[in-house]
Amino acid sequence: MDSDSKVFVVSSDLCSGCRNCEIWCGFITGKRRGFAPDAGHIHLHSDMEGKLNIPELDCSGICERNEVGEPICVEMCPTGCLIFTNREDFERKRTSWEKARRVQPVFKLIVPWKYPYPWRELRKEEL
Amino acid sequence: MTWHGWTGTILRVDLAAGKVTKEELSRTMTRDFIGCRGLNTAYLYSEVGPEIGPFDPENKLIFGAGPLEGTPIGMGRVSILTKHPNRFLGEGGAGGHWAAELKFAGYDVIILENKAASPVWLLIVDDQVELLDAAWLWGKDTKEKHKLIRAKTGISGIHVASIGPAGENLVANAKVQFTLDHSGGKGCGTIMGDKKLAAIAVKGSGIVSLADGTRFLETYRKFRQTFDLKSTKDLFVPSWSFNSANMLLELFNENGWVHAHNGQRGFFEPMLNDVEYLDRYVVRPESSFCCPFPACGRRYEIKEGLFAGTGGDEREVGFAQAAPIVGIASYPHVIKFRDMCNRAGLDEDQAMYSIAWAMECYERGIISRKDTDGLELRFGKADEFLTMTERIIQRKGFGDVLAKGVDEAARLVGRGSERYTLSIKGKEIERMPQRNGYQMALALAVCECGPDHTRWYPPYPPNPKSIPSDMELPFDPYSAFQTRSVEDKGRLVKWLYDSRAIVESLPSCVYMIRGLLGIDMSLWLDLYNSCTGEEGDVQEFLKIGTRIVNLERAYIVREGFRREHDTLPRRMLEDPIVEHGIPPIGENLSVMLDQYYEIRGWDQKTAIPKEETLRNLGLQIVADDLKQRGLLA
Ligand code: SF4
Ligand code: SF4
Repeated sequence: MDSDSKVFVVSSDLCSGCRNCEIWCGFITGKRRGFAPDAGHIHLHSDMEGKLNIPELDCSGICERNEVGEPICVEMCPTGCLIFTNREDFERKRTSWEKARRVQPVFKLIVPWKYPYPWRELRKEEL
Repeated sequence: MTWHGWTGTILRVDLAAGKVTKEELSRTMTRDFIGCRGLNTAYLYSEVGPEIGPFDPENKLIFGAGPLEGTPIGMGRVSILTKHPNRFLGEGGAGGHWAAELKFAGYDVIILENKAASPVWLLIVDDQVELLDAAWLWGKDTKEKHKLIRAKTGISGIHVASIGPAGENLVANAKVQFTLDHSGGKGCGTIMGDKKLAAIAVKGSGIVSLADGTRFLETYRKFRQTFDLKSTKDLFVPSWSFNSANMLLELFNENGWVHAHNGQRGFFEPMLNDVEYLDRYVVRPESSFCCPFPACGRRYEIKEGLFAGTGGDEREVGFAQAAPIVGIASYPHVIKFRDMCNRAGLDEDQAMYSIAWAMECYERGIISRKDTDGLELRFGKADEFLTMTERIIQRKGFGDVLAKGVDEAARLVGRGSERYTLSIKGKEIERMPQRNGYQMALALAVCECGPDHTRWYPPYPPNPKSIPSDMELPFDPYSAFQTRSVEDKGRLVKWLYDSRAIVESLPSCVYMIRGLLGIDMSLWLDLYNSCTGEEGDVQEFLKIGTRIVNLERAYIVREGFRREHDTLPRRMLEDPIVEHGIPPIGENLSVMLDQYYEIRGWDQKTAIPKEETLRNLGLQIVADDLKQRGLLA
């Protein structure tokens, strides 16, 4: 996969508003001196009523990567809402998620690329 | 002085004089008590003695964030403390984002003193701290208050702690309600209402500084690994990650863990179904500040039918676990109930268990329609249940009786109704099993702030495979978790209390105590040290937890609490769970209390810490205080 063509994709219907991305970006951007929500390149926009969370990014993936090649905002995102990949890969992921959702409502909350189906293999016709 | 972790500043607010002062935090106090729950207790102990009544202006209300708050370990946890209307420690924690904002604004603790003459609210935006008139907020429910404050300040990301009508009307165990349906501090909302403080709104843009960021990140990655589904050794992690407390439903019914019909039964036939809940009501995840679980917190909504449009955010709720207490099997009703409590700042347990008590009394003929203002208050009557809840909030008719708390209500009603209250130290219990979980029974009985599970949670054994062979545990993991034997319970409960006291003082969420994190404190210590620059070892660290619990005990001892108050509802002590063949606890409680006081170094007859115990923990000053008051020989 060509890493240059990677972009951030956000599935905001999965964003828990936890701010892990925001806080960790501020940590890396601020040279690990501490945690400051305003210091980074990603900010959570929330309606504060639990109806809407959107992480807003102003970044093309510039910071250091962990051993599997993810930037820290993606690594720390617990829901899998924030991913850094190319378009095609994202489309593939999104389709598999839609399918998984139809079989098990727990996929309203998690995504198969972060948490593989834990209870049973999907049957062929479900794929 | 340079502070890492802590901001080093506390806010002292005199509500009567309208004066705000900033004080420097004391390094000795943070070393001894860390922050949050521990530090709050130290302040309350030295500033609010037994001569001060809960509703005196001299009682204080303290909001504390600890050194790790504002880092991703803090989870937004705040600890709120006051002298509870029943005189024990009115302590409660809440999650969300509020405490993290307080740290970013530059403060560790807020101490509120005296009473305002008319309603006020406190606005904190970094350096700007103002006490403002709140006539326009008073009388509104918590969600409206939050909305109005967002509109007035024009700050979209502002987080609010407020009371609702329950707190304003001084309902006995009213809680403090935070943005996005986080709440805590049963009784703190009552005192906040008494002080006429409507809300505290916070927004911060500063930094929580780290002593060693690189080491913190390394340790944090290890911390996250313990929840990794592929490598976790804790059975609860996957289910908790996906389905929060609702996954326990079947388990609860099978094991008789529900308090169906006010605890008369351990099994509830039309038990609500967790899959239905997930399918019909859950919308998407919604969590506290930097929570690593994807779905411990979820947004729910009723989309159609009865109560359509009602929604909110839940964490540990376990709607379906609560419903059997009053015999209800309707999601719309329990969801509506939850929403009413959140808006009013009413403690769910108070409402649930006091109405369940009234239902039992009604069915036994102790009370009738005459007492209940015409309501047929029987188990399973869902609409009546909601009506009664509203009357508690508004303190109307029989609702005013229940608003005083179930013990006081039983005292007023009399006629033998006292036998059926499910309360400890005068506070309604939580949904924790007791007759079939002796570790939980003991832990609830000895709690210094009324029944509170967060002080010792989780109470289940670590996976034996996850215990390193060279680790020495202070209890035997096999016998300690035998649910209906007294063996080793004292040692286990001491360990649970001491270790959780540390976690709540850092703070972090006790639900993070999964797998190894429940038994191995070294990872927590690493996080604490790399954040603050402290250098203590594990032994020192654990001693802090023991010190905090002893100080809390000394506090309630000073208020008159003794061994006889460390007890359980008579239902748990005297009645069996018939369907499951589970006997009552009976004398076993006394045996476990003996163990617990002994291992604690507290007098077995009185439950007062011995002088030597206090001295060894560096609490000589507390021992002297108790001696002066004639409480120590
Ligand atoms: S890639 Fe790095 S710099 Fe960019 S938003 Fe993510 S954490 Fe911040
Ligand atoms: S870390 Fe993920 S879930 Fe959390 S706020 Fe950011 S994008 Fe949303």
